[in-house]
Amino acid sequence: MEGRDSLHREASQEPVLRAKGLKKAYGKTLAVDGVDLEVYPGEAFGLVGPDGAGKTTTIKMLVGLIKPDSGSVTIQGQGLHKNLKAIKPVLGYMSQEFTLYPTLSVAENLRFFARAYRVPDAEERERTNELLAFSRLGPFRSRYAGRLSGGMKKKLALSCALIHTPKVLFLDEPTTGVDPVSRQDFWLLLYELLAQGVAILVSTPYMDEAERCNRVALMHQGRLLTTDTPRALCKASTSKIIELRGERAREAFFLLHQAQTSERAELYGQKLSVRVEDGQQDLKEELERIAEEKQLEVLQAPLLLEDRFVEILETKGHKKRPMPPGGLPFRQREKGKPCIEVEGLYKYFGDFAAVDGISFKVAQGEVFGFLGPNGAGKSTTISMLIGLLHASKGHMNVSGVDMLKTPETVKSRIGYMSQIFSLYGDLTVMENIELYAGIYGVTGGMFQERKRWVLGMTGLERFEGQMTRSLSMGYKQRLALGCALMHDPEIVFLDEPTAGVDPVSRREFFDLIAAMAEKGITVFVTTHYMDEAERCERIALMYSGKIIAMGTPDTLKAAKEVPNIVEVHPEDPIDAYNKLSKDGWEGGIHLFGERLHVSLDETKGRDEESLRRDLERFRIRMLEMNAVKPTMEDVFVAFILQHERMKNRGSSETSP
Amino acid sequence: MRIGPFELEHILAVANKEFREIYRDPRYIAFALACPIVLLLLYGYAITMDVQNLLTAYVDFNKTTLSARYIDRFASSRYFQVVKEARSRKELEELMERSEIRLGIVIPADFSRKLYNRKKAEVEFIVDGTWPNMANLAIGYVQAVNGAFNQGMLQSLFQRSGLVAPKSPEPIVVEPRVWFNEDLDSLNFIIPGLYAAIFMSFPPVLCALAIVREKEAGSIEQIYMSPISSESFILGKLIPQLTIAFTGLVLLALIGTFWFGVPFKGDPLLFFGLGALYLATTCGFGLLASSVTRTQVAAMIGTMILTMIPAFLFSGFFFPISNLAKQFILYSYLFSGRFFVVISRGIVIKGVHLDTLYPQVFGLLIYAAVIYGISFFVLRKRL
Amino acid sequence: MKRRLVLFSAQVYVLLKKEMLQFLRDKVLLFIVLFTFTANIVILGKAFTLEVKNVPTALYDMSKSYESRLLIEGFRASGRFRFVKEIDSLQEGDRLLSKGDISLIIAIPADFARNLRKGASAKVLLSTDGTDSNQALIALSYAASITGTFFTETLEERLSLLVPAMARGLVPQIEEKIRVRYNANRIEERQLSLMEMCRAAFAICVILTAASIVREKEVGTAAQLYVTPISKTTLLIGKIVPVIIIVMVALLIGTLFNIVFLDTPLRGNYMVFWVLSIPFLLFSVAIGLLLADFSRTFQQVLLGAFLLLMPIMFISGSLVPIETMPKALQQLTYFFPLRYYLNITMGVFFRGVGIGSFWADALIMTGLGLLAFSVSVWFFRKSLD
Repeated sequence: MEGRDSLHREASQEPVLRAKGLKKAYGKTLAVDGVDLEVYPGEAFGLVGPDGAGKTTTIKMLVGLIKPDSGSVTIQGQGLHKNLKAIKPVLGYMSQEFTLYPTLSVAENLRFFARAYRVPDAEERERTNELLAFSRLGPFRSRYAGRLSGGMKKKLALSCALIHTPKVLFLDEPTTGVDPVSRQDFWLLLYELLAQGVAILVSTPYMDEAERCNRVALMHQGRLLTTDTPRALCKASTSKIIELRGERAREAFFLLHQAQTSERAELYGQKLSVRVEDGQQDLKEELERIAEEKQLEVLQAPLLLEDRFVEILETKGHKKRPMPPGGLPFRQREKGKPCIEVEGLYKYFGDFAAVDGISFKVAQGEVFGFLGPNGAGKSTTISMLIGLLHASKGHMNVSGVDMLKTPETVKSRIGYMSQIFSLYGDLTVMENIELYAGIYGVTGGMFQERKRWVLGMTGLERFEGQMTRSLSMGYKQRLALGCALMHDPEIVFLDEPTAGVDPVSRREFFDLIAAMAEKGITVFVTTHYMDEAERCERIALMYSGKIIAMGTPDTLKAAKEVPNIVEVHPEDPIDAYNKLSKDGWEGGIHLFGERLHVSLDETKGRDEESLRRDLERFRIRMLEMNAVKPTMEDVFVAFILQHERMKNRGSSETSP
Repeated sequence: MRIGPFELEHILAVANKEFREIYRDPRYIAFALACPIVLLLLYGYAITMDVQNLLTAYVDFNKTTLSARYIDRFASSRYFQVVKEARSRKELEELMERSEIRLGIVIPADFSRKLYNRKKAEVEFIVDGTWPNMANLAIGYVQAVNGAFNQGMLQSLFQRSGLVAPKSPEPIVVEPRVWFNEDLDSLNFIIPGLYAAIFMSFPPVLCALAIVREKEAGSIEQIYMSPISSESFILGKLIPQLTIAFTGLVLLALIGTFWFGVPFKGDPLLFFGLGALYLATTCGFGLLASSVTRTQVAAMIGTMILTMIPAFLFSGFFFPISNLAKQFILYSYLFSGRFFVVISRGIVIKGVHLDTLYPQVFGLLIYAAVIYGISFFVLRKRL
Repeated sequence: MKRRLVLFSAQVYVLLKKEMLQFLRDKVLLFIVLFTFTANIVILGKAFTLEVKNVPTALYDMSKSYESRLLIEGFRASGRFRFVKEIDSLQEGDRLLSKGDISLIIAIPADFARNLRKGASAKVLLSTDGTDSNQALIALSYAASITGTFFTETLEERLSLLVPAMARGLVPQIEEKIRVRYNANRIEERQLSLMEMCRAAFAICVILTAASIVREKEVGTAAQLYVTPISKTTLLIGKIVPVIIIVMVALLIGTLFNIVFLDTPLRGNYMVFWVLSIPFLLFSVAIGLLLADFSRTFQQVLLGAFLLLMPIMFISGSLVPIETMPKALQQLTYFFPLRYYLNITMGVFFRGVGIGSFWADALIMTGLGLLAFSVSVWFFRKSLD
């Protein structure tokens, strides 16, 4: 069985893409430092890593947009840079930004690229219809691309990249910030292409998305740390994950922190997850002792790809830094009293309701998460809560301030860290700290104390004079947080604080959030990383301006809307996918490398029994089949679908 | 169909896409078309090079009928506007310090006595040199008025002395014959110059913007990935810009001719043909700016700094190229406006043809070849 | 009250420091500012000479007499005309004229001397290219004054021949004694370069201010600033003061370049100019703030600046004298401080006028500056709506 986790591939198969020793430097910084990789037909190859790891540069070199300093790229056996003109039509490429023309319609966008690739008229018509059907954009063919939703834009961009039927497809973070349903749709499109033998190289910052690929390469600081199937990668680890569950998980976390054994412990809301190496008997015992003391349940959990990534980074010397001792230099606040109260909040831009009547409450000291795709209204909501946008209507009370009446008064009580890096890149670390201290009027001894803390917390003690723009993402984010905390706010609003940050820095960041919550500071955080949502004590799922579900991560996962998921490991996954998804299981099958995830749905008569029946009917030989836990993404998808169903029912009732 | 790196099909595809985008962006069209018109109206009214009603004051220390008659010669000329009689030279100078007058006349106390005694009387004229152009004209006018007065005095002297009875009142008649711009209306000079100068600044900025936008949106990468050559792409992008600029030129020529009443003497076909060539060069300027600069901000600011004021001053629109100091002649070749200013004025005012304009046309062609050559070379190297 | 003042000054201090550091570290902006106040000024100053001299002239002398040669000598001696060619027919002259090779034809008819001797009207034909009406007029007035002198001289001569008693110099005549003030040799360069300095101060103020705000909007640091408790007036003061300081320094550099490289005279008190620049710059930065209020991207700022600055610069008297414009436009210029500022600049540099003549200009500029600043503060929102 072990062997089946690495890829099964006929020995005769030749890679369609082969890169050797790719290097690229920008000035002094080495963006890509010797990348070797091979991609085979019909394979999804994932390039996983944080922003700045070199993913985009690598892809641009692979498609010939950037000339490498050294190294070679071969596509279908031909050297890329010598035969660029001849090879171009074989390649499809979708860059990270939207590459559509917003004021051209769907059809016009497709037509433009058809002309660009000189697709003959007759073929163009056929191909366009095929792609529109495939991407389900047919009904929108005359809509301007700029007026499509984020997910539809991505699908259109993909269609444009496919107009000339390429053999190798390069996708640079195609689903970042896209809603989970669209992401699943998008992957369904990719499966079709894989089934046709197209080779796909896809980059992503999401570890959970990477698990859908046949093989993944973990990329960090311009190098590929390792390349293998996701499962083989995880199996190569010598660690196990031990979970401690219960209400007092956070206390347990701080016990570990005091004992200085917290560097492998991660707090996920009411769950403490600790990576324990096989030999670490003493740590295991300590965990058991703590579990008993804090009345926590002890469980074994599977090691995830991200854990493995972190583990590999540790061997490279990039370890999670423990928080500075002594905790935060802020006063302790009383927890539990209501601190944000929102009732029937709306925000219109023209006719468009960006925030469409939401209500929620957050208590002091709570870590509250807003989860949703780009354009769902997360940032708009935050902007209203901190007084950057005026609400169209509704009630909003933040830290005792009526935000519709006197929004300015709240500003000395809140801290905010925006989505994009919001410090001045052309000022040094120290100059930024001094600037915000000056603006908030933090002076004297208090300034000295907080400055020391910020430098210690960020690990920038010896880099005070460095320009902030030259810092890595992780440092930047922590420094931004430090500046936002300068005045000891009651609430901090973090708008996608960890987007694009490497996994170790992300973990450090969330340790800080836990420490803030411990001091009684309310943390309001938005994210589109599905797994990150589990770090929050409570989350609200936001979708098209509405909150479609709210609760602790565990209660949401256990909700009746969330389907059960069965993982099937067939001998020939593409064949199984083709058969099942065309006959009775449309839309319910997802390829995760060599395995299929099948969503069961009682209302459609899709239960485990019927799955077994169909597998037999199609003569799909199976190696393994077991139930898996739904991920946060599955939860979100389920609630979105439920929401759409309700809306459709609502509209069909009103319009007979 | 392809010529070198240019593929007709691709150029048309890009142009078609670009046209649609522009068509759906009314603000852009407004900016590109309304602004030249506004500038034409504004400058057409604001810039007059004829000096009329030159603000004048005088001190008359003589106070006789003769001195009054002399002053009256100025007052009745349309070139002078006598605003004040000052009581002292000091007052006159103060008026000038406050820019209330540009010309001061001082008539000495012995003015009439000297003249009756058939002597030379000296009248002092103080001219404000701040505007050299205006000062030059003022001096010319003063000399003309003075000369005429002198002639008149001589004439009457002859008559009174009865020495010679001249058969004609004026012994020398200067018969000026003005060509091309018969009524010497500076508007006729300025408006055709504006046809050239205004399009020195708009198309470059808009072209730079069009290319910058594509870079910013990231869609340019998708183009680089496709078989479209960068040359075809750029050309396709420029065609709509050229079309808009050309529409602007037609509108300006119509407004100039019918609203400002500047007669169009030459061949409109020739004018618009060469106009299109000229616009291609100014678009090329924007293209060059956006291809040699690394950041978009630099491209935009660079284009603006170069086109906003210098294009007006160095194109021969405002000052004749012949007034340019030698070491700056080369600088003026940075702006293709210098060729079209001559062409536009030649065709509109003089009605001349290619046989006279060929040096300028060659100039434009060489300019175009150089500017597009460099741009394409740089763009190709970038990839 | 005191605490608020302390907080205010601390806030202004950190903002000021931040803006200055950012400006000094932004190579592109730094280069642009330095270029406009140095090379740009010198180029404009050195490039032009505006006196009309050497009008390219063709000569068509049909008379070929003593008198005609005398007249021609008069033209030649004036130094205003450059004789390009002697021609034999008017057609040839017309051709040269339309080609632009010459701009004046002096034609002396065959009967010129005869008529002159008879006392009849002797004609001189001047054909000029009226394309550039200005140049044509100047050329014509030169010609008129030369024929006038010639005429007086011939008359005098004739008179003295007829009546020996009326010797030369006994003709009543007014001699004009022309004194040009301020820019005595009428060299355009000094004025062009000074005016360019004023225009540059205006444009740089507008663009720097608007850019520093809008770029913060673009990169997202604006949001971070806006959620702090800083008041919007403090924020805007922190934005405009550095720009004013930068441009004040740039003015010093520009003046230095003017004086060293262009021999621009400085007849008045420089401090008067420098200090009175402040209200003008205040207005300029306020325009920049307004522009920033209505722009979301740096591109919009530039296009807006382009639209706004070109006309203001043109009609404020920096390229054409205000009094030559139509009345309505003239009245409009009263709302543009550039008008007053140019007056002050020209006054201090050329005319050596003291502060006494400028108090009204200074007052109006300050008023307009404060008004524009208040309006821009009013429009400014510490929000992203």
